[in-house]
Amino acid sequence: MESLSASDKTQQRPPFARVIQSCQAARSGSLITRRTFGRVTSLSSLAWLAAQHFGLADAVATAPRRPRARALIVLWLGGGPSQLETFDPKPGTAIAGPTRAIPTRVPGIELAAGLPQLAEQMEHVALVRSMLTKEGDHERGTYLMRTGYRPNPTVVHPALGAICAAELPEDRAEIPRYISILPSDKASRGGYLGEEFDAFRSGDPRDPLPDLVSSTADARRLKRLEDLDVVERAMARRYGARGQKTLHRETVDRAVRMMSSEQLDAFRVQDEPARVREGYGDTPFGRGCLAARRLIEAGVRCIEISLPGWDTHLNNFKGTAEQTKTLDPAFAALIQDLRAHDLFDSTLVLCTGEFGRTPRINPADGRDHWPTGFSLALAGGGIRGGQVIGETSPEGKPQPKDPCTVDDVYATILASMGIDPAKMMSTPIGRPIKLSEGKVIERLLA
Amino acid sequence: MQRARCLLWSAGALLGLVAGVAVLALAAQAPGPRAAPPDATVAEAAGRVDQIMQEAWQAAGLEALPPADSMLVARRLYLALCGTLPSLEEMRALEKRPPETRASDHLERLLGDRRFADYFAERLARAFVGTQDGPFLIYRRRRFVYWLSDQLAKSRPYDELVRELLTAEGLWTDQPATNYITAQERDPIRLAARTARAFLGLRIDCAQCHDHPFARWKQRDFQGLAAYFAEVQPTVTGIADRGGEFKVEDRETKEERVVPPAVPFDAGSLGDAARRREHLARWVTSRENPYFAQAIANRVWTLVFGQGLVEPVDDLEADPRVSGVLEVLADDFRAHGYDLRRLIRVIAATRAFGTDSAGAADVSPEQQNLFAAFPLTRLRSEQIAGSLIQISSLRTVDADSHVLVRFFRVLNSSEFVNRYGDAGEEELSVHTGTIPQRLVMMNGKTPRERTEANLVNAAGRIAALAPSDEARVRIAYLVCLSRVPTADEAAHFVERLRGLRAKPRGLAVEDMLWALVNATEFSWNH
Repeated sequence: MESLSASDKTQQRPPFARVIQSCQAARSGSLITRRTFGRVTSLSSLAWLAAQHFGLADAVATAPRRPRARALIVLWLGGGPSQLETFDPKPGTAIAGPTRAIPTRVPGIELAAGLPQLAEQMEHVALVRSMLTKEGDHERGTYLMRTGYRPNPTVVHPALGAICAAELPEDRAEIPRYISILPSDKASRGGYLGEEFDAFRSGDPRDPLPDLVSSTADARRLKRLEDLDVVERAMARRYGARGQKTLHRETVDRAVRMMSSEQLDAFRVQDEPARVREGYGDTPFGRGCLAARRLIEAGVRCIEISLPGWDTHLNNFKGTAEQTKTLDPAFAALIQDLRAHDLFDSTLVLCTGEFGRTPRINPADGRDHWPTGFSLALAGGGIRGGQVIGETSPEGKPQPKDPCTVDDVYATILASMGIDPAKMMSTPIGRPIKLSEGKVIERLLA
Repeated sequence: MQRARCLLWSAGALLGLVAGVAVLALAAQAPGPRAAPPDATVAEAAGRVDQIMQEAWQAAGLEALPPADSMLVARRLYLALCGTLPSLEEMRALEKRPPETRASDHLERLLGDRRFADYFAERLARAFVGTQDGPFLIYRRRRFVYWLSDQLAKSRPYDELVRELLTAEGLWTDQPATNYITAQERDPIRLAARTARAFLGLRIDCAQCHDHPFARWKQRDFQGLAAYFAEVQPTVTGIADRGGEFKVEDRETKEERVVPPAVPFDAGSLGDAARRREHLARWVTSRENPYFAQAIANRVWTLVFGQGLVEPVDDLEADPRVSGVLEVLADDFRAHGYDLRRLIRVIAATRAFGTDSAGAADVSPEQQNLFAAFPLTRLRSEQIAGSLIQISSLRTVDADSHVLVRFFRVLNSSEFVNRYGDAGEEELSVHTGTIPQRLVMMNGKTPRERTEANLVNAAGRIAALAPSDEARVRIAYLVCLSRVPTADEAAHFVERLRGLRAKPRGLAVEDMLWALVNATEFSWNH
């Protein structure tokens, strides 16, 4: 896939500009023809199944480097994890509280004591300790950290995962290419790319997949589909070509195919050896991380796994200790397992929440929201591990050294996947907008 | 067999059964439409809209389709105003009315129904405060929607309602209108943007960062608007105007400077006001502010048709599909005391609303675009859920039974909406459906429960009580698709039911309902 030159890709895909043009011309009724992305996505067959032959044309030519990552895993720490109890400990200072630090495989880099297994993998992990945003509210922060853009009433931006699903071609996928496991919010959206790029939401991989199992036996199910054809034929007679534009029946067919797709077996983490399963930890989050590795093998482009519970306004130290017990084995095992399956270099792992927590410890022994100087971790997929970018103040002052913005980090992630962050998209109302406003942070890339 | 089991059922269930028989036997007393003398001025206003439409069609060389079947028009009305389908009971009542008043009888009944107030409150709340749950503790969306619903139920004039939203003081608990302020975190910038878009259909916020060379609104327009909200402060008694200035950093001198409140254009004399927000509210709702009435007219039109006269719905400066209609609707709205029900009556009385959605020849995109054919649009998730709730019953699931009312009040946390997906504030833009939506409808819990053949559900009653297989098929179609089956459809499903009794018949009816709710027709307005 990566060996395709830019010109090959250009030939395969209609230029994006043409799509925009045709849509501006078509202010023609409220069917899909009316909207730019309705059209793009309907032609690209609802995103999941057929080849994704759109969009990349103009972008790839200017992509700055040979891409390495082809898939993204987001470990979403919902609620806003304390950087001081995870990636940016400050032992022995007034802001540390009881938290200790431990050395890692990389001399000079310490992690909080709750992450011993991750410390063993530190050579593969890059930390950004100087994240700086202006959003200290959960919903707004989540939107920002999921999309790279601050909330804006005139447009809904696509989440990073939706961009991956839309921009990275995948011919084999019968299942959604953007999946959110254990979602704790509704921010994993396709935005202006279209609803068809919304993440497919699923629960603990141990449980049956939601809505994918028919409650009726196969014979009865086939009969029902025949019945449906009868009703659809009546519709077709009445509405003709206009009825077909709803793409309703096509969507039904794709859903039916998905129900029987063998690729869904990727969710069956119970098929993994006990040793592997235990490595990730016996938690829904751990199983989600394991499923993520399997889903990437099945061709999924982005998997988010949520671990909520980091909103530690009360009892921060006890709370984060519990949380890291889940995060540490899962994150570390994911790195090892991706490496063992030769997927690490082609998979980028991002571990973040919506913001960090205050250096000041509040009277309830908790920490409050802190968007000015928090941490995130990156690993795999073209990221140079074993490094730290930025530094926060040991006194808990708000301005970190060498601050990084979300859009710079996200531009870096997109670039590492061969997607040009500056690629111009068009929103449904025809407003041009870049995939990311950020600049690639070269130091982060290998 | 059936009867033997009946004896074991509770008395309440038996009563339900009797009611079911009554409906099926067409014997149920029609819930009488509220008698309202037809208002000639409504027809007059609708006639003016028709005239403009007619000219637009002529200019484009288009023919409008003939009027749609009255059951189809009823379906449109129910979906638009209550987010659900008409019940069998309601359709039967409709059939007894003279054809010429069917639509208006229904409309009057719906406008007096609590389902309308609840459903429309949810729709408007999306424009006013969005769909998010907002900052912890301060802002409670649900409280706001209840309040809005109460205002709609008691026919509060829209201009008054908006003035209260813009000026309310106090705690979010006992003054729910203050949630308009708290939902935007008292941020003058967000409030100015929201106010211009929600109430005036103007995207002045595009000028938030800098002037665009060709755009009409300048940065100073936006900043002047924001300054109206600068006095708002949180106090122990809630939101209050305690003074404060809106300051911006001057791009050249890098110094902070105070921006005085200023409206971007004149809309008549506003008089003196003690508080800035009062002044702003007068300007927004002024009779001489042309955008105020047009913005709500376009929003209501879009909710009723699924396709706006101007799109996006909050951008009145975009080109309208048909020029002149919004002006007529806005003039009528102002002239009749900013009465939202009146606005809906006029829109529903237009020829465009009653026009068929399909004709002998294929409908062209241009016909749909200009409302010469009723637009085919996808239903929103809560309309699908509302319809599923209704089809599980033959009788009207209405305010008395609270099911729908409760559903619309807890909409955001509803499991079905969660799985089916919610377009949020973007709800009025058009997309095709998604695969997860199809999966939920085919295999999900809510559709399964609602089409299950048991004693209290419609499916069970159709199976057990309808006089013939032909009647079963006909009733199933009326309940799910608000129409009778075609000859082919009837033949197919009658064959499926032939010779079945008891449980197998119940399962066959379930299968039929499954096919109907998974059909395109169920998920689209037409």
